[in-house]
Amino acid sequence: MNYLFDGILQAVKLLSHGDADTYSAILTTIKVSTCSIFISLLIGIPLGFKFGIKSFRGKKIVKLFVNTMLSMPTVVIGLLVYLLVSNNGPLGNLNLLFTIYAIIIGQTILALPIIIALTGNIIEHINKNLPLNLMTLGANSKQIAKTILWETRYALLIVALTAYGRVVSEVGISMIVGGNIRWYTRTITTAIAFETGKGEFAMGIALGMVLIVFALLVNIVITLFKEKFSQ
Amino acid sequence: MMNFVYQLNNIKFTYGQEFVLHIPNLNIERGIILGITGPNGSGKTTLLKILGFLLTSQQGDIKYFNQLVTHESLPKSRKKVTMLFQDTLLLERTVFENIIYGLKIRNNTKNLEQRVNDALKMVGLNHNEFLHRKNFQLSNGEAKRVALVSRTILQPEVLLLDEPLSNIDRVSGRLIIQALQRMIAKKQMTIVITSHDATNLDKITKDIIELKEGRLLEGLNNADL
Repeated sequence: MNYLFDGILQAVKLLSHGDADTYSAILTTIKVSTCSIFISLLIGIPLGFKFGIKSFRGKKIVKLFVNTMLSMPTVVIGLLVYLLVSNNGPLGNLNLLFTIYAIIIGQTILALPIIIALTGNIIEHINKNLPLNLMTLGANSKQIAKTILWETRYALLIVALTAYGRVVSEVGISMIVGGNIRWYTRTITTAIAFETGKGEFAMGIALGMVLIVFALLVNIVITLFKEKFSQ
Repeated sequence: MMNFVYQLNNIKFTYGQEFVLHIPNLNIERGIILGITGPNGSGKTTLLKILGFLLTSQQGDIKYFNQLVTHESLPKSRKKVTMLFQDTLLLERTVFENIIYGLKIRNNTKNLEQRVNDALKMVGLNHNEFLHRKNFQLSNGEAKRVALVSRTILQPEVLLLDEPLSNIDRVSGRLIIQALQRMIAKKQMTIVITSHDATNLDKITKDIIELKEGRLLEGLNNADL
């Protein structure tokens, strides 16, 4: 048990003394995951909205594909992005491999199906008369879309937080296309895997604690918004 | 020459394979309250949606103030007509924000508060008490009256009301009827109102037509109302 307590004690010291290695990984994680969520929301919400509101041939097949993407292992996404950005890949000339941009691409691919599927589901379940109600008040299709998005804002925020929770805790993509480079592409999760492999548990525990605090904060916000949403 | 708001000619509407509505001929005169009665599923709501330019019939044509309504003129015509649905649906906002939604869309925002206060008074709602209430803090009857105000404040040429008296308390029902009678007395607009209960319509208007299984009942076809 001492082994564990020592680790926790050292972890607290690392965090309280502002250990540069630890904070570099935390900052990289925040930077990368925030960027990927932002891009995923920009692409995913309009797509999810259209997916939810429109009926079209082949919708069931698209839904099946998106739902399959939901359970795509992060290492598979990492591998795909690796093939895409490695020297021989179609984006090889951009030199993105082992940069935070490659991680952002991978994490965006990870978050997109979550955002599209959940947004689509929310929009599918709005009152069918809402668009007609807005139309009869004089709204055009852009104004209708804007109003529906505003009306579903709490639910959409839960979508964003759910996707953020998934992105911030992934390790496969960051490890494969980020390369776990110290001070540069090392994220919380890759650092935990790396330090644990070396037998250096203190930093792993410290970063694990930060990750748990992240998850806790995200869940607190989700719970608060769910309460607000269900009122 | 009669001043007609609507002239419907051989309107047919189906949902998929299911037959819903066939109106060979129906003219609706300006400034009246037209009641439409009939059992559930008789096509009342579908007819209202067609009159509100929210649905387009597969066959036939509609003239609105003697102008043929086309795909191009539809959005313009739609702005002159407004419909209150049976299922009252307010936005997740305050009463004030719900009422001004349509006005803001039209960039018609002069004297908003005064106009909202006056409109609320017409349906028996005290603005001090209700203006800043959220949608979920209203009873069914109050929500229906707020939804009605959000339509009447737009001063439409035609107001379409789908079962406005169902699922609400008697006081709200009485206040809605009084508000409609006042509007019609001022010759402000043409009102088309549906109810499955004809006795409700008798309290409001003498001009009543009946629908059954998507057709106007015998003797009421070719009606000039």
